[in-house]
Formats: sequence, structure tokens, C-alpha cells
Amino acid sequence: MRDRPDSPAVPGLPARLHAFRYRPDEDVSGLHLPESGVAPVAAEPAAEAPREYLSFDLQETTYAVPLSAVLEILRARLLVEIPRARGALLGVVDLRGTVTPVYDLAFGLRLRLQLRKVAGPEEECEKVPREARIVVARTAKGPAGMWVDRVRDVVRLLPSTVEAVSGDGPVVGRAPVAQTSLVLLDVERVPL
Amino acid sequence: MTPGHPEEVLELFTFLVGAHRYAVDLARVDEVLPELPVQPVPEAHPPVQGCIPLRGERVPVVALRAALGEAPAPEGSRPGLLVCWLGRRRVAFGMDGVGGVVPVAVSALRAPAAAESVPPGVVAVWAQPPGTTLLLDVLQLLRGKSPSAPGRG
Repeated sequence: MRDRPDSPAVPGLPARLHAFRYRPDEDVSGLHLPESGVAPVAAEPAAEAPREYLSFDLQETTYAVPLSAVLEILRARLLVEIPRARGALLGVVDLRGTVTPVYDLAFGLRLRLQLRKVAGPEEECEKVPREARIVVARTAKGPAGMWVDRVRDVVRLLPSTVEAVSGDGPVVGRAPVAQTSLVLLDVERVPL
Repeated sequence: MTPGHPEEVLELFTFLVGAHRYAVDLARVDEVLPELPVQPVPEAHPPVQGCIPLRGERVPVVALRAALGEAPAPEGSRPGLLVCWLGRRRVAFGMDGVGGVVPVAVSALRAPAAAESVPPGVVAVWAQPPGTTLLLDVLQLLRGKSPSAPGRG
């Protein structure tokens, strides 16, 4: 390729750069890409495949959700307030241009009786703890943030070590890890 | 700030493919992975090689070198996958090495000249000695149209 550093910018550069910039709502039609879907689980009949979970703390308990459901982890911050928000909704956060709801997971799990005040004018909010995080998870309704006290680790669990919990509640299993017991959650079942 | 403003700055993620250095918008980058085995899928057409499983999701992999008409990777390259956001889905692009993150003033960029031969999908050029970085619009590349690429001579 020939470099021409002294050539003037031709008209149309702003439009080209507009298309160059990432926007979550950009038009992705006509790309002819295979469907993303869910990856098929590799067939491993001989060995039990471990599953990965992201563990985090809420109050005194360590919970975990499947790592495949986790989109990203954000440092907790003050949120944009939603007037007359219902349920466990704390507020929303701008995630690269996508407005993402953030829920108080502890409130949704009935570990707290009151929502924490982390949205709206700073002077009216409680101090955001240094270790608090927002775990953004993939849900049927789209990405949803869950406010947690502390993110711990990614743990690999063999399905045979997980004690299933029956019922329709958000807790779907328990697994012994080190000195404690991990509570496995189904994000879709948490009443948010 | 409007596009083209002299003080406007783009954050670029630069990477190597073949003999050239390319860049995408940093906001588009989700993660960088080492080279992984690509699973062929019947519905994939070149330059899509297949898919990789990524945290439970099937992510298409695009062979950038083929799409850009680049030469084979030079000796000592460290191939990997650049996972980008295209809208709200992720697509992995095969690359020959990571450059880095660099802020660039829009005023330092130029559109490729009409007579200049650039790979498809290249929408702007940053000529910063000793090299040149080609700004790649990956959506345009995958759609197979490139207003700035009259053809590679």
C-alpha cells in the first residue's frame, strides 16, 4: 500500500468514521453470519465435564451463577434513578450506550427488607462499598445487572458434586467448596 | 462534539493482519483470545470459517487475512482472535497479532484517496511514521462493500 500522508482528507471522512464507531443499535443486517445460539456441549461420555460458575457474596452467603450467563462485571457505581421503580430495580446504568437495569439481588432474595439507595443525587445516596460489583447477566428479558457485595472467583464444579434443590425458587442447588457451601442461583427465577 | 472536529479523539484498538496494521473502534472490542480450534458449521460461508464456543455461546469466526486479501502471517506472529461486538452479537476475527490501544485525533486521519489501493472495509488511514494504520469498518467488510476500495492493484 502506498502511504500518502500529505494527501488532504477527502469529503466523507466524518460519515466513514460514523460508521466506524461502535453503536449497540447499529444495523447488522446482511452479514450472512451463522446463528450464534447456544454452543453444543461437547460430547464427553467418558468423563464428567465440570461446569463453571461465578461466585459472589451477598451478606454472609456465597452464591454462584453459571458463568455462561455472565456478560460482564462492573465496579459498582451510583446509578441513574428511575422514578417509581418497582420491585428490586435500583436504577439503570449506561453500558456502552445500552441502558441496562440494575437490581438489588439481596432484596430480590429477601436478604434485605429495603432497597439500597444508590440511584439519584449523590448527596441522597449511600456510599458505594469499595468491593461492591454489578454482575451483568444474560436473561430472557435482556441484559440485567445484579448488585452484589463482592465477586469472589470462577469455580468449576462437577455436576455430581452439586446437590440439586427442588422447587420453583431461585436457589437450584448447593455445592461444597473449600470450607463453605456455595448456593447456586437461577438468574431467571430471582424475583426482580 | 461533531465528527471531524479537530479535537475529537478516537480510541483505536490496533492489531496485525498479514503485512498491515489495522484498527477498530475500542468500544467494539469485547476481548482478545488466543488462537482456538474453530468448529466448522455447514451454514458458514467464507470469510466465515466456523464458530467457537465462548462461555456457552456459539461465536462466528471470520478469517480476516482472507477477507482482507492479506499475505500469510510473517514469521514470529502471534495469532489470536479479536472478539468484537457487531450490534448486540459477538463475532471473532482471526488476526496475526495485537498492537495496542491508542488515542488518535480525528484530524490526524484521512480517507483513502480514490487512486489508493486499500483492502475492503478500510474507511480511513492513520499515517503515523514509521507505519500506517488502516481503520477497518468490520460491518462494511462483512457486507462486502467498500466505498474506499476501488480494488487492490
